[in-house]
Amino acid sequence: MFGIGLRSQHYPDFEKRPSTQLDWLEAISENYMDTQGRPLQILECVRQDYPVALHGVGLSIASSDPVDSMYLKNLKSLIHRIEPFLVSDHLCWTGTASHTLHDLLPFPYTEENLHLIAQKVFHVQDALQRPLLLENLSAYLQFTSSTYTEWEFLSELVARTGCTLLLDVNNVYVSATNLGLDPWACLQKLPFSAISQLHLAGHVDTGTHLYDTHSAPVCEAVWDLYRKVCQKLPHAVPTMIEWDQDVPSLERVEAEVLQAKAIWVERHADSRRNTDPVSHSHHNPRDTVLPV
Amino acid sequence: MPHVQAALDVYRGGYQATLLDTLREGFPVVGKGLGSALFRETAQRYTQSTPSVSYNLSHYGSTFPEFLGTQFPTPSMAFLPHLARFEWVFREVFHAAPPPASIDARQNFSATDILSFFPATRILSHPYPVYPIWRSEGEEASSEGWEYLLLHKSKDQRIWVTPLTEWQFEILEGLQQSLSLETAVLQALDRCEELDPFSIQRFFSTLSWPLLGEFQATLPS
Repeated sequence: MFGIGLRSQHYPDFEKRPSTQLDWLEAISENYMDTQGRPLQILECVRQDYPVALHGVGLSIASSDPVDSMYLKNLKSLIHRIEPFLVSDHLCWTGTASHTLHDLLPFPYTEENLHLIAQKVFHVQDALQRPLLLENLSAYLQFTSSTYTEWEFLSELVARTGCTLLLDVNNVYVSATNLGLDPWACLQKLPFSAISQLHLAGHVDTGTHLYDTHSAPVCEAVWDLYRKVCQKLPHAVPTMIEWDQDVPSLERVEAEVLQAKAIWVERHADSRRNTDPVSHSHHNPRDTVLPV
Repeated sequence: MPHVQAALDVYRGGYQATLLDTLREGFPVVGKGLGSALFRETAQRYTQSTPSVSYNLSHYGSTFPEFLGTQFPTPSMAFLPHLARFEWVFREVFHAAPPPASIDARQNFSATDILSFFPATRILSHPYPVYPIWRSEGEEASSEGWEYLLLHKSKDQRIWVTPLTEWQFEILEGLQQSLSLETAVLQALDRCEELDPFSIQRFFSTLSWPLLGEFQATLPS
């Protein structure tokens, strides 16, 4: 149930196929969609030992342009090759058909955009033949034309399309703080039964705003928010530590995973709950079913 | 809450920083050669004139070598676009598929065969020797004289760079153009007067042909 992101800094570690405290790994889809080189070789090596989730940053589901058909084709090929247990991306746009900005860009939460994105989610889920998870963004501004809050928008999108949520707890904290909102008050409005995955990460305080850098340990305020999320979740959910910049040793990132696990166990001391649904056995990891 | 302008600056700055990091990662020896400040200035001019159009960041920078040629037109820097081109091609080979696991190491071929290069097999020619500069991570200085290189992969994803003579390059270039072995060799013999059959035989026996491509008895349809 607890994992980390697969990062190139840790390729040499995973090549040795060490014994770890990890139950699964998440790979950034775009890093493996257009390569037949060493990165894909490492991912396939990792996949022999761990279930893998694919997490995209380029689907641009909120763009007014159609979903890039080549992108979908390449993603589908990767899914066929890796057999991930989850496939996700972000609720954002990343550019236009002619210009990619390589960033997760916000948009107004309006009925028009809700309808547009719902149609695209249907199209993607049909193309990939599986449900899509969508992640909440870190926000640095909000649009005056929005008629929904982010949480209302997400909830409505889930209800209309059957997609589920990748809840980034750090992003909730960053957005709420930047926009002058209460993080837990925002979170409570989400359909917790629709959460299929959790992200935990660090951020940087610039003095004027929080900046979602994924370059630091998870801060205490985000751990506190995670404690509350754990208590409210109706079932165990795959949870991972995202550390993308200034990536430390594998052991250091694993230490964050162990902290997340300890919090989950502390919040779910009831032995009737299945707190560790994925065993550490590496036997037949392709057959391992994680709670979704 | 951040001021709107500060918030927009997060996105504006993020785009530039992402493209700059991509170029820095894709052209590390060029970056080392120019130095951090000059590389950043040059890369910023490139990013301002060349937007990213692919979802895949590793596709960004294909025209950076040519751009460098326009930015540094002096003779002392004439090697720079060729060094950048080598770094770009090396990256393409890095991401290319290795030879199939099933390839037969004892593959036989005849004079009339053509060679279909694997995606990871590339040949390069430069008017300046850039491989020594790249291999030394910029420590070795540029010199003069044409350089001919063969890049290919072994099955374990290792990339091999083999310096070639001009006639060896000519033969491989002919094969890459789907000439038969016999025709490619005859063409090289025509162009290189000093070439002898023993040298050709030795070249053929030392190359790991099964890792370069597959020999086919007929032209592909």
